[in-house]
Amino acid sequence: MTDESTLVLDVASLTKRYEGPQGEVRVLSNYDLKISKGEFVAVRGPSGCGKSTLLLAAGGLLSPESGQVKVDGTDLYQLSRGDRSTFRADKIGFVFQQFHLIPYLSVLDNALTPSLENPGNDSLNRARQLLDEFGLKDRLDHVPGQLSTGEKQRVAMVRALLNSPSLVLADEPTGNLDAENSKVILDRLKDFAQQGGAVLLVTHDDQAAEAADRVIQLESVGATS
Amino acid sequence: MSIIKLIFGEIWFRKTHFALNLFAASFAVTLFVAGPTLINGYSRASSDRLTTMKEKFEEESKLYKDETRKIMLKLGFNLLILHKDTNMDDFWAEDYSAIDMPQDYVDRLANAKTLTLATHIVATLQSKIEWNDRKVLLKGFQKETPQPHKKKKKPMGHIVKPGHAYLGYRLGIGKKVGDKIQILGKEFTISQIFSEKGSKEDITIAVDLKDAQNLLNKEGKINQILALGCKCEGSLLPQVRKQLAEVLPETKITEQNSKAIARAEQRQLVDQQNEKILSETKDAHQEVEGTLRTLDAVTTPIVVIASAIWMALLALSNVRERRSEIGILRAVGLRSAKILSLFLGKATIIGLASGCIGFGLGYLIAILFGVNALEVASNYFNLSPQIFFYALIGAPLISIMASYLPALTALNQDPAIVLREE
Repeated sequence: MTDESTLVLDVASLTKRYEGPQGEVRVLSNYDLKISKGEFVAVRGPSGCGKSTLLLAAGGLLSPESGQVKVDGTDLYQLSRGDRSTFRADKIGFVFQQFHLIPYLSVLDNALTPSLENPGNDSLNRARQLLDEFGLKDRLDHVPGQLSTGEKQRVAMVRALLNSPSLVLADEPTGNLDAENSKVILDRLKDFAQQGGAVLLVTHDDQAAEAADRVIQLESVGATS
Repeated sequence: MSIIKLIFGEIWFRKTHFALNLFAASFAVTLFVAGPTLINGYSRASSDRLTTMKEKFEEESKLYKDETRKIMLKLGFNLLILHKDTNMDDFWAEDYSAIDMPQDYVDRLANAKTLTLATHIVATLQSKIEWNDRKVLLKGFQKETPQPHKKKKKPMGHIVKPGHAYLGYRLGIGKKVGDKIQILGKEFTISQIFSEKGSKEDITIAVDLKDAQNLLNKEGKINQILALGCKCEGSLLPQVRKQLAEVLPETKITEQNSKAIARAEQRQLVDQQNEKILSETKDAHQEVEGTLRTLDAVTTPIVVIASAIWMALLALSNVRERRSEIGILRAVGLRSAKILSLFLGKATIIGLASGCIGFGLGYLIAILFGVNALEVASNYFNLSPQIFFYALIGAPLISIMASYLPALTALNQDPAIVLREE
């Protein structure tokens, strides 16, 4: 039995379909997933099995056909679009394989983008502190084009952690990194979970999967007509 | 971190995109400003040119008028009023009318308020007489009869004292002022001998009207009334005839001194010519102004619309280029209004900058074109606060309108798709 009070992510009966060239493709069907505080969960599976779909739906970025996604007890898709954005800014951090840093902003400003919607007094100090912890103290004024891929992903990690979210959703965060940088990122995700956060990691990488407390294998649901 | 920082950071990062947008918007504003500035400047210059021309012509006309008036006065009376039964063939052969009129005709004329076109009315009695074995012209002059309803002027005509006579040049040869002469058996003193005129004046004896009436046994009679067509118009006769017929239907009128008439006609001709020049110049200016207005009315909207389309396409390409950025901003929780403000804020900056640049350029182009092509002095082109206001409000508005739909596509973009694709 999962303890409801420590439950961070509660995905229940999630179904998501796409319209493909050869008809409707159902990538997730009545899918359930629960992640509690302190848990680092990795999701593995073949391409197209719905790993990224699960992650984006869990982050409130992809409305499912049916089912529920609750984060800290709040049903994301019952919220208005604006409220969902605010909720996401407060409770969820994202890390992507492609980093998605804004090319014209400095490292510090990229890290601060989650504070755009709710600028808090402490955002700047926290960003500086996190960047320091991630070894980017001397890179604050650099733009992404001046960083290595490992550094870029570390900036993306700082951005995800800025608002002290409950849940971090990581989509192949080590996909473009060497072993050393991958370890840094995985260690940080592990630390985050150990400090009471919850991590959902989507990966193909064995090393990444090994770092997780729990590994879920996702199978292809297949096409339906 | 703020939205403003994001906007300016993006502008700096994508300078070419910003420059292309700025160029499009500035081009439209330039034309929007140049058109009215040029038209207003040209219109002011035209108005001034026409006023100067008009003033010059009026001054010229006034001079001519004054000159004509002086000539008319110098040439003397130009209207002759005779009895209506006068045979004009005999009149021109004999130089006087054989048919007399009552002397009170002259009072009726002078007192007639409807007679506005004749002034300086003088009653005369003229006849040919034998004097010192030759035929001479005896003229009796009454002092000018005042017209009570008209302004007092220096009287015209000879004012000869009773018992005195003025002699024409030929009659005065061998005589001097103060000599006594006999005219039809009565003694007169010579008061004046005229200089040579080269006309019948040279064989004329002028005396007081009463003296002439006594000498010719025509008490209370006159046979010619002299007058001056006071308006100095060439085609005066028909109007004076009309007025005269109402006052003295028993008379008729003829005109003399063609030189004065010709002069008056010449003045009228100059006036007409000047009016024609003025009217043609005005027409030419209006035509140029009309062409400028038409050109402005056609070109400016086309350029504004084309620029707006260009800006919309640029904004669309900007949205596409920033898909990942928008996706991540949505993922980190940025609301739609702030995403929209990123694009519309940039559009506002482009609009404001292009408003200022376009205003300056438009003003300069208006001056350059106006001075070189239309020959209008640069001081006629004013910096209009009204046009500046419209440029400063209009340019951001058009820029925002052009960016609005592309910005909406950015809002409607599904971040999940973008983040997954990237």
